[in-house]
Amino acid sequence: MIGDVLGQGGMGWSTGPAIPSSTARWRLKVVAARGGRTRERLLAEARVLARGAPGDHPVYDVGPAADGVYIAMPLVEGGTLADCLAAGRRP
Amino acid sequence: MLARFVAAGRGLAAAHAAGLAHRDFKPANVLLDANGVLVADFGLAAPAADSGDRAPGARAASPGEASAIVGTPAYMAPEQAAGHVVDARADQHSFCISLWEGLHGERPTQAATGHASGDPGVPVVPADRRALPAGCSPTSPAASRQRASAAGPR
Repeated sequence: MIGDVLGQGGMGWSTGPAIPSSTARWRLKVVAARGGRTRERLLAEARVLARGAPGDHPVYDVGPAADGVYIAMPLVEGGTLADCLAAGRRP
Repeated sequence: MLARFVAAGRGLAAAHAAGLAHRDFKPANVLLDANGVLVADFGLAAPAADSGDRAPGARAASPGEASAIVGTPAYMAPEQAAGHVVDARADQHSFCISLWEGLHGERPTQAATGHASGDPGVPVVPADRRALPAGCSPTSPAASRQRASAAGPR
Protein backbone atom coordinates (compact mmCIF):
# COMPACT_ATOMS: atom_id res chain seq x y z
CA MET A 1 0.00 0.00 0.00
CA ILE A 2 1.26 3.43 -0.94
CA GLY A 3 0.77 6.56 1.19
CA ASP A 4 -0.76 9.83 0.08
CA VAL A 5 0.91 11.90 -2.58
CA LEU A 6 2.92 14.57 -0.72
CA GLY A 7 3.92 16.69 -3.63
CA GLN A 8 3.67 16.84 -7.37
CA GLY A 9 5.68 18.97 -9.74
CA GLY A 10 7.28 19.15 -13.12
CA MET A 11 9.70 16.38 -12.26
CA GLY A 12 7.22 13.85 -10.86
CA TRP A 13 5.55 13.16 -7.56
CA SER A 14 6.30 11.68 -4.16
CA THR A 15 4.30 9.91 -1.50
CA GLY A 16 4.34 9.72 2.24
CA PRO A 17 5.29 6.55 4.13
CA ALA A 18 4.31 3.52 2.08
CA ILE A 19 2.54 1.90 5.02
CA PRO A 20 1.15 4.71 7.21
CA SER A 21 0.44 2.46 10.18
CA SER A 22 3.92 0.96 10.26
CA THR A 23 6.98 2.38 11.94
CA ALA A 24 8.82 2.41 8.63
CA ARG A 25 9.47 6.02 7.73
CA TRP A 26 10.18 6.22 4.07
CA ARG A 27 8.78 7.78 0.96
CA LEU A 28 8.55 6.86 -2.66
CA LYS A 29 9.36 9.38 -5.32
CA VAL A 30 8.59 8.93 -9.00
CA VAL A 31 10.60 11.04 -11.41
CA ALA A 32 8.81 11.49 -14.71
CA ALA A 33 10.86 10.61 -17.78
CA ARG A 34 9.70 10.83 -21.36
CA GLY A 35 11.65 8.67 -23.74
CA GLY A 36 13.67 5.55 -23.11
CA ARG A 37 17.07 7.23 -23.11
CA THR A 38 16.07 9.77 -20.46
CA ARG A 39 14.66 6.97 -18.33
CA GLU A 40 17.79 4.87 -18.69
CA ARG A 41 19.89 7.87 -17.72
CA LEU A 42 17.76 8.56 -14.64
CA LEU A 43 17.90 4.90 -13.66
CA ALA A 44 21.69 4.85 -13.97
CA GLU A 45 21.95 7.98 -11.82
CA ALA A 46 19.54 6.69 -9.20
CA ARG A 47 21.63 3.52 -8.94
CA VAL A 48 24.71 5.62 -8.31
CA LEU A 49 22.79 7.43 -5.53
CA ALA A 50 21.70 4.06 -4.12
CA ARG A 51 25.35 3.13 -3.60
CA GLY A 52 25.33 5.93 -1.04
CA ALA A 53 27.59 8.89 -0.38
CA PRO A 54 28.16 10.63 2.95
CA GLY A 55 26.05 13.76 3.24
CA ASP A 56 23.63 12.75 0.52
CA HIS A 57 20.04 11.64 1.11
CA PRO A 58 20.15 7.81 1.22
CA VAL A 59 18.33 5.81 -1.43
CA TYR A 60 16.93 2.39 -0.53
CA ASP A 61 15.83 1.16 -3.92
CA VAL A 62 15.33 2.32 -7.49
CA GLY A 63 13.67 0.88 -10.54
CA PRO A 64 11.57 1.60 -13.62
CA ALA A 65 8.03 2.89 -13.06
CA ALA A 66 5.17 3.27 -15.54
CA ASP A 67 5.90 6.93 -16.20
CA GLY A 68 9.54 7.18 -15.23
CA VAL A 69 11.74 5.96 -12.42
CA TYR A 70 10.84 5.26 -8.79
CA ILE A 71 13.17 6.04 -5.91
CA ALA A 72 12.50 4.73 -2.38
CA MET A 73 14.19 6.73 0.37
CA PRO A 74 13.90 7.43 4.07
CA LEU A 75 11.51 10.18 5.11
CA VAL A 76 13.43 13.07 6.67
CA GLU A 77 11.17 15.28 8.75
CA GLY A 78 13.53 17.84 10.27
CA GLY A 79 12.81 20.58 7.74
CA THR A 80 15.24 22.12 5.29
CA LEU A 81 18.08 24.61 5.32
CA ALA A 82 15.66 27.05 3.63
CA ASP A 83 13.35 26.81 6.67
CA CYS A 84 16.37 27.42 8.86
CA LEU A 85 17.39 30.55 6.90
CA ALA A 86 13.81 31.86 6.93
CA ALA A 87 13.62 31.36 10.70
CA GLY A 88 16.86 33.31 11.08
CA ARG A 89 15.39 36.26 9.17
CA ARG A 90 12.36 36.53 11.43
CA PRO A 91 12.70 39.35 14.01
CA MET B 1 24.37 27.82 10.09
CA LEU B 2 27.82 27.86 8.46
CA ALA B 3 28.44 24.30 9.70
CA ARG B 4 25.32 23.18 7.85
CA PHE B 5 26.59 24.76 4.64
CA VAL B 6 29.95 23.04 5.08
CA ALA B 7 28.16 19.70 5.55
CA ALA B 8 25.95 20.33 2.52
CA GLY B 9 29.04 21.23 0.49
CA ARG B 10 30.63 17.93 1.49
CA GLY B 11 27.49 16.07 0.41
CA LEU B 12 27.56 17.84 -2.92
CA ALA B 13 31.26 17.11 -3.36
CA ALA B 14 30.64 13.41 -2.59
CA ALA B 15 28.03 13.28 -5.36
CA HIS B 16 30.43 15.01 -7.75
CA ALA B 17 33.08 12.45 -6.88
CA ALA B 18 30.56 9.75 -7.83
CA GLY B 19 30.06 11.43 -11.21
CA LEU B 20 26.75 13.16 -10.52
CA ALA B 21 25.77 16.79 -10.92
CA HIS B 22 22.78 17.84 -8.83
CA ARG B 23 21.53 20.64 -11.15
CA ASP B 24 19.06 22.04 -8.62
CA PHE B 25 21.05 22.72 -5.45
CA LYS B 26 19.35 25.24 -3.13
CA PRO B 27 18.66 25.54 0.61
CA ALA B 28 15.22 23.93 0.14
CA ASN B 29 16.97 20.78 -1.12
CA VAL B 30 19.15 20.45 1.98
CA LEU B 31 17.33 18.35 4.57
CA LEU B 32 18.05 18.63 8.27
CA ASP B 33 17.62 15.74 10.67
CA ALA B 34 18.93 14.64 14.01
CA ASN B 35 21.95 13.00 12.39
CA GLY B 36 23.01 16.03 10.40
CA VAL B 37 22.56 17.43 6.92
CA LEU B 38 21.49 15.55 3.80
CA VAL B 39 21.57 16.86 0.24
CA ALA B 40 18.36 15.68 -1.41
CA ASP B 41 16.34 15.78 -4.59
CA PHE B 42 18.90 14.75 -7.13
CA GLY B 43 15.86 14.09 -9.30
CA LEU B 44 16.86 16.68 -11.85
CA ALA B 45 20.42 15.49 -11.98
CA ALA B 46 21.83 14.64 -15.38
CA PRO B 47 25.17 13.18 -16.37
CA ALA B 48 27.90 15.77 -16.10
CA ALA B 49 29.09 17.28 -19.36
CA ASP B 50 32.03 16.00 -21.32
CA SER B 51 34.39 18.90 -21.82
CA GLY B 52 38.08 19.64 -22.16
CA ASP B 53 38.27 21.18 -18.71
CA ARG B 54 36.26 18.51 -17.01
CA ALA B 55 35.59 19.00 -13.34
CA PRO B 56 36.92 16.36 -10.92
CA GLY B 57 34.62 13.37 -11.00
CA ALA B 58 32.64 14.58 -13.99
CA ARG B 59 31.77 11.99 -16.61
CA ALA B 60 30.78 12.20 -20.23
CA ALA B 61 27.24 12.80 -21.45
CA SER B 62 25.97 10.89 -24.46
CA PRO B 63 27.26 12.37 -27.70
CA GLY B 64 25.00 15.10 -28.98
CA GLU B 65 22.74 14.89 -25.98
CA ALA B 66 20.69 18.06 -25.58
CA SER B 67 19.94 19.36 -22.13
CA ALA B 68 16.58 20.77 -21.15
CA ILE B 69 16.78 23.79 -18.88
CA VAL B 70 15.81 22.51 -15.46
CA GLY B 71 16.59 23.87 -12.04
CA THR B 72 15.62 26.93 -10.03
CA PRO B 73 16.37 30.20 -11.87
CA ALA B 74 17.32 32.16 -8.74
CA TYR B 75 20.17 29.72 -7.99
CA MET B 76 21.09 28.75 -11.54
CA ALA B 77 24.53 29.18 -13.14
CA PRO B 78 24.64 31.29 -16.33
CA GLU B 79 25.68 28.29 -18.44
CA GLN B 80 22.73 26.31 -17.07
CA ALA B 81 20.30 29.18 -17.73
CA ALA B 82 21.65 29.31 -21.29
CA GLY B 83 20.69 25.66 -21.78
CA HIS B 84 24.19 24.19 -21.96
CA VAL B 85 24.95 20.73 -20.61
CA VAL B 86 26.24 21.43 -17.13
CA ASP B 87 28.56 19.70 -14.68
CA ALA B 88 29.66 20.02 -11.07
CA ARG B 89 30.64 23.65 -11.59
CA ALA B 90 27.00 24.70 -12.06
CA ASP B 91 26.30 23.17 -8.64
CA GLN B 92 29.16 25.22 -7.21
CA HIS B 93 27.45 28.35 -8.53
CA SER B 94 24.16 27.29 -6.91
CA PHE B 95 26.00 26.52 -3.68
CA CYS B 96 27.60 29.99 -3.70
CA ILE B 97 24.25 31.71 -4.26
CA SER B 98 22.84 29.65 -1.38
CA LEU B 99 25.80 30.49 0.86
CA TRP B 100 25.42 34.18 -0.03
CA GLU B 101 21.78 33.94 1.00
CA GLY B 102 22.80 32.31 4.25
CA LEU B 103 25.39 35.01 5.01
CA HIS B 104 23.44 38.06 3.84
CA GLY B 105 19.86 36.98 4.41
CA GLU B 106 19.04 37.55 0.76
CA ARG B 107 20.19 36.35 -2.65
CA PRO B 108 22.50 38.46 -4.82
CA THR B 109 20.93 40.71 -7.41
CA GLN B 110 20.52 40.09 -11.10
CA ALA B 111 23.25 42.68 -11.72
CA ALA B 112 25.65 40.69 -9.55
CA THR B 113 24.92 37.33 -11.12
CA GLY B 114 24.99 38.66 -14.68
CA HIS B 115 21.84 36.90 -15.82
CA ALA B 116 18.14 37.10 -15.14
CA SER B 117 17.29 35.35 -11.91
CA GLY B 118 13.65 35.18 -12.89
CA ASP B 119 12.82 36.39 -9.41
CA PRO B 120 11.65 40.03 -9.38
CA GLY B 121 11.53 39.88 -5.59
CA VAL B 122 15.30 39.62 -5.21
CA PRO B 123 16.38 42.68 -3.19
CA VAL B 124 19.41 44.85 -3.82
CA VAL B 125 22.55 43.79 -1.94
CA PRO B 126 24.55 46.82 -0.73
CA ALA B 127 27.89 47.12 -2.53
CA ASP B 128 29.90 46.82 0.69
CA ARG B 129 28.38 43.40 1.35
CA ARG B 130 29.17 41.87 -2.00
CA ALA B 131 32.48 40.29 -1.02
CA LEU B 132 32.73 36.52 -1.19
CA PRO B 133 35.86 34.36 -1.06
CA ALA B 134 37.89 34.34 -4.28
CA GLY B 135 36.50 31.80 -6.71
CA CYS B 136 33.12 31.90 -5.04
CA SER B 137 31.66 34.99 -6.72
CA PRO B 138 28.43 34.41 -8.62
CA THR B 139 30.08 36.04 -11.64
CA SER B 140 33.25 33.98 -11.62
CA PRO B 141 33.79 31.79 -14.66
CA ALA B 142 33.18 28.09 -14.36
CA ALA B 143 36.92 27.36 -14.29
CA SER B 144 37.52 29.42 -11.17
CA ARG B 145 34.54 27.83 -9.48
CA GLN B 146 36.16 24.47 -10.11
CA ARG B 147 39.19 25.68 -8.18
CA ALA B 148 36.88 26.86 -5.42
CA SER B 149 35.67 23.30 -4.97
CA ALA B 150 39.18 21.86 -5.07
CA ALA B 151 40.19 24.24 -2.28
CA GLY B 152 36.95 23.72 -0.40
CA PRO B 153 36.45 22.78 3.22
CA ARG B 154 38.04 19.56 4.40
